[in-house]
Amino acid sequence: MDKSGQPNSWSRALADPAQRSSWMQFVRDRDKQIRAFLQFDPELGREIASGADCDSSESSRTGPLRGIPFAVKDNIAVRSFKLTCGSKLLENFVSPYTATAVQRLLEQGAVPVGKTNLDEFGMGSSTENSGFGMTYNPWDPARVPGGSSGGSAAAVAAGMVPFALGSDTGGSVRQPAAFCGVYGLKPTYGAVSRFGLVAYASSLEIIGVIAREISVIRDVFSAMRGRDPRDHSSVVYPEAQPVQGKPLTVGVPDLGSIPLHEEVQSSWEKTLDVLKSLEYTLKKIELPTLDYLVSAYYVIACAEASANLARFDGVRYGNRSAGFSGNPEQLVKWSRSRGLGDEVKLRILLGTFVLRSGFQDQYYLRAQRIRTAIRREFEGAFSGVDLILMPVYPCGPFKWGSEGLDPFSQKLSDIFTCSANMTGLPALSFPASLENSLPIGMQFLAPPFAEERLLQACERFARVFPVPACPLYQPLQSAGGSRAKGGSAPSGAQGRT
Amino acid sequence: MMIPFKNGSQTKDWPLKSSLRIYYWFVAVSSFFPALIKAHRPAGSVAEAEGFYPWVDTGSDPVFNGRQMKVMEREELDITAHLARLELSDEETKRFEQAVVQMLEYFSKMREFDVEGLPPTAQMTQTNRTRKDAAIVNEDTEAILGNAPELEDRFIVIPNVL
Repeated sequence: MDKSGQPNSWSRALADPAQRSSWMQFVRDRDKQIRAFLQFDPELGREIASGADCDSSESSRTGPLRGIPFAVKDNIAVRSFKLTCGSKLLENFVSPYTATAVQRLLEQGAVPVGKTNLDEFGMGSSTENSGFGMTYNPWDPARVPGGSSGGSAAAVAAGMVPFALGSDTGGSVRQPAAFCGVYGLKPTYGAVSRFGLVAYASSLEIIGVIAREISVIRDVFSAMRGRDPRDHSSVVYPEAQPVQGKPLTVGVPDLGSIPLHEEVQSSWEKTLDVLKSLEYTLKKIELPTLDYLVSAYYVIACAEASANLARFDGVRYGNRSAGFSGNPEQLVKWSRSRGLGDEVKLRILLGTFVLRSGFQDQYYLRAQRIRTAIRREFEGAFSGVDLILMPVYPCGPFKWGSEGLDPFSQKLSDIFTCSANMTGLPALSFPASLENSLPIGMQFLAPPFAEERLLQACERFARVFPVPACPLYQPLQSAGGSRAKGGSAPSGAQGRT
Repeated sequence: MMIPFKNGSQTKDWPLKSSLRIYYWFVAVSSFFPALIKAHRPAGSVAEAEGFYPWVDTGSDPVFNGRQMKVMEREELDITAHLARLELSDEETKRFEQAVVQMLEYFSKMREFDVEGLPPTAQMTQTNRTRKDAAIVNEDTEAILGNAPELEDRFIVIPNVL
């Protein structure tokens, strides 16, 4: 834990005022290129962290997270920081409270330094749907960082922060982590409190963590998890079971019917070879419900979104026109119609439609029943294997704009990630190979609360393929010198303000 | 009716300030809303009658259904938008119509799946839990009120209800 570039070196470096200001300068320079942050304010973060320190425990003085800076996706509340959710509607909203997950990190001495960009309310796979401009992939600024936690993944990949929080409703932590060549953990549903996470699809989502080091993911996850009286779906985390030393059996689903892009296909085959070389036993499994997964997922996600987002009415908070004249209902319609982006409106419309009287049984109820079938299928699969391997996304990091994936194709591409959300299972995406100088990610899924098994499997995999460094990555130790210059500017992101 | 922020002045003269426009119009409006929605909805809506997939299930007569679909899409989308309190411009309606139909077409895949005997999964943590019915005092109501778009003293201002 004390090698350069690892958490304790961050803590030491940031204790030194000169290094600290050099790091801040580096983040600001780098952010001009990739636009990962919506708000970067380490001083405010320090104030909040010192406030939380008042009742500091032993762990906050000596624990592995003490003094470590981290970024937070802007749909997770940190008191006194903005909480825009990437939406124009909440452009000026300042959070009056702190999410439980963040609070627990504060209690360990970690310091929030800013809020990262996202697809509006977490709806998207490219961070192009943000109301405040997109984020660029630090591997190639002509490409998207993935989404919806694109800002968090890009910030970690570029070395701005050692870890960042994201939220995963259908793959929003794992897919951007894969696109940026870092690790992304989606914990078991209920393992981390959702209090302070702005609700999108409550039965699917969870706060996750993105980092370049597995050890950091482990420390952060163990600090965040556990039951919270403010989230009735949170659960007491069972004591981590020891993982058996013998090589594990990995379930490999037959992907025959799902077309993978060339780069992902190649990475998939390489990953299987690596697992064999690491003496894992590979076992074929059948997951026929995959064909119905995405449609059921989107029915449920949109239905829950239409209910959860009904609160954004511009009455008690949110943007409202000055001197609005009209009746209250027009005010609500006016605020929502001008404040929300296209993708959000589309999902609200779909959700409202599938919940309308007369359609509920055919859409929402049917989707919930299919969800049961999916859960049972995965439960059955885990009776014969310890882990399941899947790609994260059918293609690698795609280009932004019209050269990329249209919104409909992006939705269909959630097929590998949203199974973990539909079943509540934990999943960890990891960089599996580089194809054409771009990272491709794979993911392991595990039975409920077997996060440690996922972490160990990825540590094992990293012996063969360690986390890659993107062209814009600079490790912390050069903070005093060349780092402040910000490296060479990539052409794609320059000049965009 | 009071604004639910526990602090000093908010209770003082609410009944007297009847001209003050409070956000509790919401309760009033929503109570007679179902009637409005019903009135807005065409009787014997084709969507209701056709069941699962009204917009794109063209059936055997493409010409008839094609015409029917066109009318229905717009109507159903308008009703849905109203229920979601969204105001769509003509241009937006065109765009969303296409995207919504595309998604519903995709959802129709679920029809193939035999769900007989499967209970629905509504949430992952299956037990219902309650907490103590005890008040938690929020110390910082100013931070909450600070986000209000328009304030008069400690009241949130909205347009006239009537």
